[in-house]
Amino acid sequence: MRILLLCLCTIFLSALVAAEPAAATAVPLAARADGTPIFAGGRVSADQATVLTLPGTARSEVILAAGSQATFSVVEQELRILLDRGTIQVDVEGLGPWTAITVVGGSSQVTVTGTLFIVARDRRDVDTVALVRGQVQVRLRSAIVATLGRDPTIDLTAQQQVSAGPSGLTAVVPLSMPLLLAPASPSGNTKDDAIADAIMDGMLEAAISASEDAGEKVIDTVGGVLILPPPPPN
Amino acid sequence: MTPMQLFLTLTASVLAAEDPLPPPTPAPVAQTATQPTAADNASAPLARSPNAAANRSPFSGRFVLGAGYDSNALLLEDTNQFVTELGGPTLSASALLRYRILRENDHRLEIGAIFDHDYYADQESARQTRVGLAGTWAKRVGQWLPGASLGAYRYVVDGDPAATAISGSLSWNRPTPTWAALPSLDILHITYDDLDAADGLQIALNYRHWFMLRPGQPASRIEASIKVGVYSADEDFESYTFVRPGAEIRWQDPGTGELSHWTLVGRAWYEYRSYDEAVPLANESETAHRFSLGGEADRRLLPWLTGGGYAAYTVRNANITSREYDRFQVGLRLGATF
Repeated sequence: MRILLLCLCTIFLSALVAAEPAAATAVPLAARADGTPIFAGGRVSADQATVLTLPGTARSEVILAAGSQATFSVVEQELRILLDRGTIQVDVEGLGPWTAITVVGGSSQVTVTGTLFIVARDRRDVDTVALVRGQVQVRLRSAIVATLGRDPTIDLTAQQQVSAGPSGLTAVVPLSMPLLLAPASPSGNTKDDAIADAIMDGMLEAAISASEDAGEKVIDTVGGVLILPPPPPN
Repeated sequence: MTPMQLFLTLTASVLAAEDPLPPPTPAPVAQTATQPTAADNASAPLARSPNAAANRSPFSGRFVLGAGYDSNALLLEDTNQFVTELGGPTLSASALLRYRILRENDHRLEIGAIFDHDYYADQESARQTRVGLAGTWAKRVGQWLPGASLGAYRYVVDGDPAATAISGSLSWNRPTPTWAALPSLDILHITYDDLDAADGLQIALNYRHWFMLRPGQPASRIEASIKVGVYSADEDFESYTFVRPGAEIRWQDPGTGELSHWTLVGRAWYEYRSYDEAVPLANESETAHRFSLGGEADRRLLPWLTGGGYAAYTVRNANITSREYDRFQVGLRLGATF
């Protein structure tokens, strides 16, 4: 009887442990701009350029270009964004609850380390990985590694890009791929808001410029007086 | 073409030619049907995350160190009898700290603290320190972005407190992806510590119009402006009416935004100034024409560091020859942002 009870407890505890990952998958892996959560297995097809965020990270902005599609999943606490097709731009600071955030393309997988980069996947499953800032590690997908019998890895530094295909990785070249959006301004805004930011900057610059003009006027008025010879003694 | 124009043209050409990065030539594998072009990106509608602005640091700053040459920091006429050597080397340092109090997409409020010092090795009377505080506010109202700014600055010349300035501006801006209209009413009040006659208030109407060189990206734009106003001083011979049209072109590498390789700026302005009354012992009131032409080129060396140079030429012609001068400034600078 005790053995039966022990077995039942073991089975119950095992079920609880097994259920934990399922509970973890209830955590949204990403969110649309309107707050709609995207859970594990969720697929985002972008009819138009679409901005997503990754909850839990210090700052994140994931942009899918029009016509692109990505699937979100979690593998051993690693957030994986599978780029089914198209182009994705990732701007992330901090990993949040994940041990790693990886973008998987047609041939490559790119590990996020707090950076801004783009992955473009073409119809032949060739990926172009372009890094604007930070650092990323680019390596081939495990299936290609198995086929090639080697596992080349490239650490990209800022302003570089590389391509990955079924035949391996190309040489690193200077960044030339355009961003989906201009990187966020210090206030965190881009695109239309960039104009509002620029106007705010312009207002502040105008205030500073007015003070510079005033400074020039001060020199024009005071500087000339300071160099005048002292009046003769009475 | 004047020597100054030639210099600026050549400088811009050389700087552009020195860019070691090749022109955009995507790798062959990148030329796919699905890869967006810059034009696609510019026109693609985007819905932004509502908290994108909020999760940025509210603090930012800019520090600039410069070294160069100034031909006439004291703005004196060549044949003045007090200073024979007008030109000399200059060092400058400036800092701007910004704190964003409100960072919503449609409502912004921020303050900035400014410190600026210009050191002239040979012209002690031109050494100036400026410290100040400025605040700007803007709130989106439909298609408009009205705003206001207020600043207070203290000037120290050659170690002695010299003047205080208060600036203010009310604007009613209209931003669009391809252009922006920035009309404003500007005021500037200057109080001199030891020159009461020159104390005064400047009131001006200012209109700036931006033509975006790339839709939605104001970092590259052409600006046309005109400013009309009066400066009313305690003494009428220090009071004047002015008109100041200007133009500026600002260009940044396409597609790379804050990490662009180059930021190039060229600007020119002209000012007509008519004084209300003649200065004591003069026969007629002064009429002055000021013209300035300048350019800047900065290259981003690191994500937080820029290096570049500037050059400017300013000339003042007037019916009172002792008030005429010209000035040439050139230098190199390093700028850090965070």
